[in-house]
Amino acid sequence: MDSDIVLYIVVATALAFDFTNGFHDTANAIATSISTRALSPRAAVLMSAVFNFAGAFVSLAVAATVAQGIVQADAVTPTIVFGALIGAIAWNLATWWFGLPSSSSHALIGGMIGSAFVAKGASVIEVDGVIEKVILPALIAPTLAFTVAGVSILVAYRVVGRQRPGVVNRGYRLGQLVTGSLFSLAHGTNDAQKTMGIITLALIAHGNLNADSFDVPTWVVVSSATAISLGTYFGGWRIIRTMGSRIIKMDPAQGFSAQGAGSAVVLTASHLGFPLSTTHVISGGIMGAGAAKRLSAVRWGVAGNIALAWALTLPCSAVIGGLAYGMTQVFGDEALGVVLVSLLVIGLVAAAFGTRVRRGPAITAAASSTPASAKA
Amino acid sequence: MGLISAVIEWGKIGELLWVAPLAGLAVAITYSFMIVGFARADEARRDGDGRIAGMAYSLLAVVSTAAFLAVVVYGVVIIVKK
Repeated sequence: MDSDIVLYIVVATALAFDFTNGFHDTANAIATSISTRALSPRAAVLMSAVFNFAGAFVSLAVAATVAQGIVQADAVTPTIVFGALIGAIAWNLATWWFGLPSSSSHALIGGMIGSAFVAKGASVIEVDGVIEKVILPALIAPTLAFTVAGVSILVAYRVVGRQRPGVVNRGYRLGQLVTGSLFSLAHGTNDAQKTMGIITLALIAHGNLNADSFDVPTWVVVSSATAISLGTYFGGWRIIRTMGSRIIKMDPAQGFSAQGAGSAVVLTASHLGFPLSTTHVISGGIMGAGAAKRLSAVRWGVAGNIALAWALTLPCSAVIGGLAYGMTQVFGDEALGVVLVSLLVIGLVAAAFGTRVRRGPAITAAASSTPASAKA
Repeated sequence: MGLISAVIEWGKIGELLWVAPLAGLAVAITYSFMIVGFARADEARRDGDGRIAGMAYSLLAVVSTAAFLAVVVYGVVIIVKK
């Protein structure tokens, strides 16, 4: 009975993480489209939500690789997964609060490391996997996207340089519909499957599924796709504002170049079996598209804050994940600990959102589409 | 240091470092030429300039559109086949 309760809570927490993942990463695909007015905010989140939902059904290959190579698979228990999810959710919400884009995948990996470390010790952590799947991609993704977007915008300006600005801007805005959709589809394929993998792992650990074949049940696919697309539709407007207008003030050609370069980098890496964070890629792409035009066009202070958030993602989510796991063990009985930690987290999140909502519509689409002059 | 070197798949990274820029440039170049082709073909039609120039720009627009769509479709294939 106790283990059933833990399983139900892990499934609910995984879906909550999926929601924050969609909510947090909406900006990756649509911030540039909103900023250049290629799409209205509401149309952009709707488009992204639909493609995220569709992407979740495309393939299940990523689901089987969750946490693989990060912690020893046989050491993972549902309560460790619960601690990992709490670490990831907390970091996603904290970075959203400050409007900072950061990788949800790295937050989940960090949470898993912290939770597993507290539960089983350092021996279950696979350091090689952390270097290969977290540290190296975090260095390559933004640097490569920065370079590709920078070269792309220079080439684009060179090719269309003598055309009328109205035609050029309309053309690139139209192109952003394609690149934004591609980015959302790739995101749905990658990120919804992380949750599917987490839930399936919990079901296997609980004995509901056979460990020999990693078959993701249909209800897991549908609920994960729904959670990520709902999160996407809800929209993390603070991060959208940072990515769309606080790093650089972009024109449609820059928006297209950042998204086009980002899509090229993400899909090439995915094709080579070297998955990169969409957040790192698009952030690097936006900075590259701005810096190539003029170095001072990039607000390097904002870029520095984003880089700091990336560096802190793994350690901070690991600490929170470890703390969450540790708190579940204080009460001895696993189910009681998990229930109490869940209630504590729900209370904290409700209090934070409640305060925010009372202060004004800063987390709504209306706030994002309100002109600056109207807000002043 | 040796451990780190053993873990890193240098071959994949090397391939990523030249294929991704190539793909990114393909997107930017094909789409930019598509805009130029359509804009110039439209201008030539409106201004009554030489038919050959108009046809050449129309051809540029069509070829660039086809190339851009091919890159996008290949991207979708990568996503689906993953």
